[in-house]
Amino acid sequence: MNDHELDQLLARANPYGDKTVRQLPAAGAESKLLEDILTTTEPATRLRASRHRRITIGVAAAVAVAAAVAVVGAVLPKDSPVAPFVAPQQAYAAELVAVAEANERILIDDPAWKISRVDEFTKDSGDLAFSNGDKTFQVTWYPAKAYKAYFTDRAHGSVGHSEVQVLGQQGTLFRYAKNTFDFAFMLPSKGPSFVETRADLGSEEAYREVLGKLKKVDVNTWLGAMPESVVKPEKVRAAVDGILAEITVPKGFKTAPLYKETVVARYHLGARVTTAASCAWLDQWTAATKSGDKVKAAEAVKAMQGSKSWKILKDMNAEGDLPEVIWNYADEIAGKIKPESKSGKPADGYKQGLGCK
Amino acid sequence: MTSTPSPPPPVELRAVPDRELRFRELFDDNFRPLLGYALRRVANPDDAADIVAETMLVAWRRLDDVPVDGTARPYLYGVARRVLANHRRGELRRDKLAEKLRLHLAELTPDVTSLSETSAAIRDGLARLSDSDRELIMLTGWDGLEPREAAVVLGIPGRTVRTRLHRARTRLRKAVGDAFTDDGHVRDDQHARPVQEER
Repeated sequence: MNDHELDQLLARANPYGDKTVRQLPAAGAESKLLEDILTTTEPATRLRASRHRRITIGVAAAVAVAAAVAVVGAVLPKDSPVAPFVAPQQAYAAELVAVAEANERILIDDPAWKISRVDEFTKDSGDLAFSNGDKTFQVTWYPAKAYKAYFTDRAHGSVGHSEVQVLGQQGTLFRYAKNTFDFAFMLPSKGPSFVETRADLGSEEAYREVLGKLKKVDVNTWLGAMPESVVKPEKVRAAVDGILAEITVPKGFKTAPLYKETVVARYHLGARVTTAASCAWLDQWTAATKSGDKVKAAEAVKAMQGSKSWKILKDMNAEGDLPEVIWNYADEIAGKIKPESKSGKPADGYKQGLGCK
Repeated sequence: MTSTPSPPPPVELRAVPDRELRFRELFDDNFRPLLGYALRRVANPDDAADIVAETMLVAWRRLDDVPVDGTARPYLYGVARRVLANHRRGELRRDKLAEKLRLHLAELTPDVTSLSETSAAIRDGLARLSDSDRELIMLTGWDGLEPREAAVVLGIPGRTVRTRLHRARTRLRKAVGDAFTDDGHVRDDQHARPVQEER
């Protein structure tokens, strides 16, 4: 279960989502409470000049970690030879094309809706989100064999469902709660995967309108609609080597597992490499501390401190939490901060914390 | 000769003190989020009325303590957290201020019949976490706070909050892990196991 999936499950489990609370019929009680509080005896306070100030709260919507932004699609270099009979078009890695061909390629036929997030795609699963201003419309591909189980779950978790024709196929529209417009729509599987869409667009009409704009497209159009900055499968090796060249790894560090060729965001690829390196250094530090090998322990402490200047971690720090977690372990084993673990031991639980294998 | 009736005296407009204006804005901006915060943490929805009323009353009486640097909401959640602790100890009185709101909320019945198996598994997992792990995940996942804001509510150093959150989420994954298949779907016949605290 990745971060995004956990966030989704958490959001669904929220008994009172923001919209539910906003729509509670409590306006009369709200203003009465305000007026009643204002008429209570207030203790003398120091009044300052110009207290009238709009208080804006920078509360981010929902969750903090922006870890997953895997993006697919890449164009030929400008100087690549293109056969004259082939219309100018984007070219993609074979694996990526295979993934695109395996999945039903769906876009929203409205330029206002743009793909804003793409998670790692395989031949039978993937997840992307379209955004239009502050509205989000999510499309998820699940393995076909899971259709029945998901359908049962949605039917159980919703307050009603109806049959709707979309993309020339009959699908099922689920409404999740009476007091929200959180809808999910499932299309029966075709090929290795089935598609589910989900959004709260303020009304059933708005949701159905977007459903009506869904269109199936060819591979190149679909891939061409993806945002830029993806690490293509055939570029994974070079990207991993690039990261390895900038970081320090212990002697005997195994790099083979890092080269797995997938469609992956640079953040995730960075996480793959830096957690492997950090795990290896923390393994060395743990073993050396246990055996009393001060040289090896000091080497690990120095390397982990050095991670604060790894470019990849500095880049990733703007997107997610992993760099801070690594640096925290670095500071714990360097004795710079008090260990957070209950045991009081530095970096205790790092294998679980970093997902070391 | 009759005298012309004198015009009615001009209505004296009440000057609204800055303090009141500020509280009104604070209230308007935060009433609903605070209500959501409270509803997510009490067994009976009408109890949330007392939590909100008491928290807002504290904010009104100690308005000078409410920060104006953009952290008013986490500050209010921090106050609500203490009010909630009193409520759990049975020390929160039924406030007359909250009467009307309580009546509204008493009619609110959480729709447990629509709780999907996946959501039930997540809530079971949350219930198995330590109080601090659960609160951190709820503040960031349900109440919409950023980790640094959650740190304000919990009174923990901002420096460590992301690490704590990462670990809490890892423990939640572990707590619910057995309840889900690899593709994120809830298993039919498995229940989440208690998670070991590993700090």
